[in-house]
Amino acid sequence: MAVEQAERLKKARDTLRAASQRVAAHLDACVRCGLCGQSCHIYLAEPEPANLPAAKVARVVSLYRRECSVLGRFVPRLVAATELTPASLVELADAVFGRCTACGRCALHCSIGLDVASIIRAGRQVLAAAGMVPDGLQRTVDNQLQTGNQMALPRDELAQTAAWLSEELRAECDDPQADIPIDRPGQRVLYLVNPREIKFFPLSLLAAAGIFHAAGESWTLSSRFYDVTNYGFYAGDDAAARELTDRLMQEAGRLGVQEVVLSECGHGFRSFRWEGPNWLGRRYPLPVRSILELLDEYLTTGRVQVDPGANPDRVTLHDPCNLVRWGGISEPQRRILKRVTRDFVEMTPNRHNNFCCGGGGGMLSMGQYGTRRLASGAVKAEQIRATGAKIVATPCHNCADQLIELSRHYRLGVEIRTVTELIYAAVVRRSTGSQTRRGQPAGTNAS
Amino acid sequence: MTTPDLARVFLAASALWVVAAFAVPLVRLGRPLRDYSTPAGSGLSGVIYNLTSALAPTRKESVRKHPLIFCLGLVLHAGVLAAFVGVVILLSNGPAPAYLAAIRPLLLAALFAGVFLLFRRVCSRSLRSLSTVDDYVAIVAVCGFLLAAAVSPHSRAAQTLFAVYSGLLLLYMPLGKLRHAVLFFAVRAEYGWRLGRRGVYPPSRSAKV
Repeated sequence: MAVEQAERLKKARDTLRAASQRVAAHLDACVRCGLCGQSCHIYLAEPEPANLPAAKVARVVSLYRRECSVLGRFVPRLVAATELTPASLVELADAVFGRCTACGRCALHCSIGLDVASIIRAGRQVLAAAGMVPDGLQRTVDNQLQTGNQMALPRDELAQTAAWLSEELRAECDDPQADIPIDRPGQRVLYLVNPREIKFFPLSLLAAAGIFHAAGESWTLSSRFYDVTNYGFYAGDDAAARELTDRLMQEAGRLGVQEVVLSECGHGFRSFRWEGPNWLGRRYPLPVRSILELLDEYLTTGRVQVDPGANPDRVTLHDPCNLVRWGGISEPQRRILKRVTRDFVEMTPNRHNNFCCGGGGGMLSMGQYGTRRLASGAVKAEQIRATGAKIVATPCHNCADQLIELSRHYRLGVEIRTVTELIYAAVVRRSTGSQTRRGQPAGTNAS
Repeated sequence: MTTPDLARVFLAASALWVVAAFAVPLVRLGRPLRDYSTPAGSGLSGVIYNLTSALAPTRKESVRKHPLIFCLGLVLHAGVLAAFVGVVILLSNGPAPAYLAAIRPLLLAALFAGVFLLFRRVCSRSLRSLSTVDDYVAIVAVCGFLLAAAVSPHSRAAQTLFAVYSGLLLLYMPLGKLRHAVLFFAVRAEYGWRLGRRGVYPPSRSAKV
């Protein structure tokens, strides 16, 4: 037991040294001015010192100083350097998993400009090396590695769902050829989805399929590796994150597609589009895009026609942190919503400056932090309420889950829908000139 | 060699130490510039944005919500920068006393700001909980530096004291909190580069902050 613990600590120490190298300058630059609190949704909801981003950073910095800095080694008290022990790792876990979604908003407003989220992730890497990732999150990573998808859905579940959705699609499109293709080689697009779309929100997948049909797109799903999410990223487990990315890219190669399109998933987009090539240490052989970019292209070029009258209610937009602040996708969804809705209003603040919904960073997988997660959504709830919107669109299934809970908890009375669903509701079919029926909102089929 | 000459040599050696000590973290920081993802924007535009417009009160919440702290911080840092220009003049055998005498009002204003910020750190519960001994040492050391700069034009002995004090401060700088004097620019540039490549920076003009 003691040997095992010593080994874990050694791994954690080695990881701390390696992980902190890239962010060493950020770790060294914090001046602990405390001005970051006002930019953090968790601190704003519960303004206690431990929730200050600087305090969370300090947990990582104190360990880093002890291991990697001159003053930390020789005069640890001067710089509050802390020995890496099981107890200090427990405190670290509470700070970097339980009090931070790594949304990165505080970095924009930090007086120095520290990349706080990357520091938090370095802390998570240390905990992953020590085998101290919270159970729920670790289970999700394990599911993904073992079964190919984070919800551990059996392989035939996708086939069954796709079969009955294809029937729906044929009926809605009045086209006997319409279907949801699986493992069809040589298509233009490999579409990666969130398993949540297969298990709980199949109408999101139907909406995407319906739009692809309207656009005459050549596309396919994969039966083996279709999961756009990457919980290795959240867990700080780079080896798992690399493995999951590699599988998807290999699958794209096996199916011979020309492009990989990612469903509405904030961290999935960030992981696969931006972090993945660096985990793999090579450039991708094919382009990777968010479905929002593709759908925006359909609408802009007139490949898909829409009628905004199908979405008459006021709609506002939640910007997922990983998609917008970390992914650079902020305008396609706005252009889309302006085309497919009658009354689109912005939240304030928005785009890269948005507040996290509270469900990011793997929070939804860590049940022990559920109360904090809901409390931290208070800022988002007030933002939503201030818009007077009846529908909140969000291009992220993870955010959608949190927003559904926020709507109930804070009695917002709003529907949560993905952007794809709102487009599908407004699609004008080429064959008949009539509109499709509206896709069922994500927020209503959750309960 | 006279005592003032020795003080200047010590100061020059300290300055060299600063350059050497910052080389390692800055080289490490440059590694993310090797990025295999296909860019969607310009890294350079991101760097420029993050070192300019991103600092404006209109963009930065911490400035907007804490205007007094921001102004005091600005005065403190302007004073420290001006005093360091005095150090450079001293090292190059220029008219440091005349220069430091001319900027004395700024130095004293910066000293006042420094004392106020130290007071704030001591009085605020959340700041106290965040603070390390290094935080107090750094602000006290900087206040001492400003005071030494302000009194240095009075006599040769005060000038020598200023040179020695500056040398000691430079020795401490790469080890403790004062590192941020250099790392501020480096981390903003690196973060700006990353977000610039991703097309996040510079942000849309329609973005509401």
